Amino acid sequence: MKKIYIFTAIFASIISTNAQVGINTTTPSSTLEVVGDVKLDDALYLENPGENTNIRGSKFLVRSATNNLNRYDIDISKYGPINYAEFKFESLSAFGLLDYDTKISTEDYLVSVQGYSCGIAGAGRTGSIMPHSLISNDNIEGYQIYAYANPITNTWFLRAYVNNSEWQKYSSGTYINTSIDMWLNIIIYRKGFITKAVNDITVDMGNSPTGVAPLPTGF
Amino acid sequence: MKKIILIILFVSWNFAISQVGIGITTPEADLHVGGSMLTQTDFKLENLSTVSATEEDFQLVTRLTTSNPIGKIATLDVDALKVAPVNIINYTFNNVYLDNLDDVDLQYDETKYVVGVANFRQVGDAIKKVPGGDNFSIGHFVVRTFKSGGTWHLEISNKELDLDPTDSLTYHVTLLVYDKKYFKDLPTIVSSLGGSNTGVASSVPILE
Repeated sequence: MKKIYIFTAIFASIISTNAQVGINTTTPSSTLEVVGDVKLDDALYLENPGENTNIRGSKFLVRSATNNLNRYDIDISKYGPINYAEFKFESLSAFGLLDYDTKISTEDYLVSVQGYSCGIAGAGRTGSIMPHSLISNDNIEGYQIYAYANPITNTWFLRAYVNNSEWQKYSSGTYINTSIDMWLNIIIYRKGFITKAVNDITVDMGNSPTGVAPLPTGF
Repeated sequence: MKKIILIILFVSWNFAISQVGIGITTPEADLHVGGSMLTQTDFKLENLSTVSATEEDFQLVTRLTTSNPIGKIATLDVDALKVAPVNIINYTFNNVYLDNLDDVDLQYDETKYVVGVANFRQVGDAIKKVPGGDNFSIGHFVVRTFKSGGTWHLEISNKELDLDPTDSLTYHVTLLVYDKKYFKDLPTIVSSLGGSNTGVASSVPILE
């Protein structure tokens, strides 16, 4: 029965005026319509598939680890190509955040800090605070707000502090240490999807305010 | 018509399970092509399943414009590429003149890339405040990437004040190098706030 059905289907298509072929259908709506799945052992070429000029109403295509062509749906998938998370740290010490394990795998992700803000603990982002150098009142200490890969845990750690400094608030005519709340804007890139790590580059500025950094291979 | 007839000659039938093979006698799908396939116009996939919530390590599918024939479908293997859509590179700047990286040419072509800066770290000695009347100036500190002469550049410095020449510091940053094939470089949005400290964007980028 199947034999007759398919043979008829193909044959019917061939003799029709618009030369359409159906597999598992007697009414193909394209030059070739397959009702069912398709397997290709080699390449697929799309000579003129049309342009997509709109970022809405479309989905990326991905190939799964088992070689299936799938739609990529960011609402279903466990990760996006680029992911954002705000980390809020409540009641931090006056020294800021010295070490924090995000538990995010360094094997699968690349993490960077792309924004921060802080304020007096419990006061939202309001409340006047300033970093105070423990070395000298005249020091304008440098900030270090960054993510780094810990080679022992193989996870990303966060640090956010001002060198040699404590956060202080103004209280009753003087400045005193205060615990703070801090917000870090963390961007988490999935490795191997659209993002890759390139080897570290060290630039010796030779005591000059201008210079040229070496360009990584291929750029 | 000729093409269709030719194809039919190579079609083999698995009658028991109603599958069609082209260039293969044992089809494993409703249509199984034992070679490559070229579609000249539209290619529609009506019921394509989505990635599951637990799935990992899928790869983005792209269409090549440099293949022969044109339009080969290929996965994006960023580990095999020299330049990925997003490239993350840690930089260290040693032997800095005072606190000033006035202009470092990073050499990334501005027609190909957008370069951002993250993970800023200043390691080493502090710049000193400068007395001015009853107050002390702390100057103002700048960390930015900018375009100049066709490439991306980096500036890091306290614009008013300088580090004491007997002191030293090192800067660490992470550069995010985005390929313009995937990331659009929009024109600058200029808003004059007329002395106010609040405002509304003068133009909205069209992203729909």
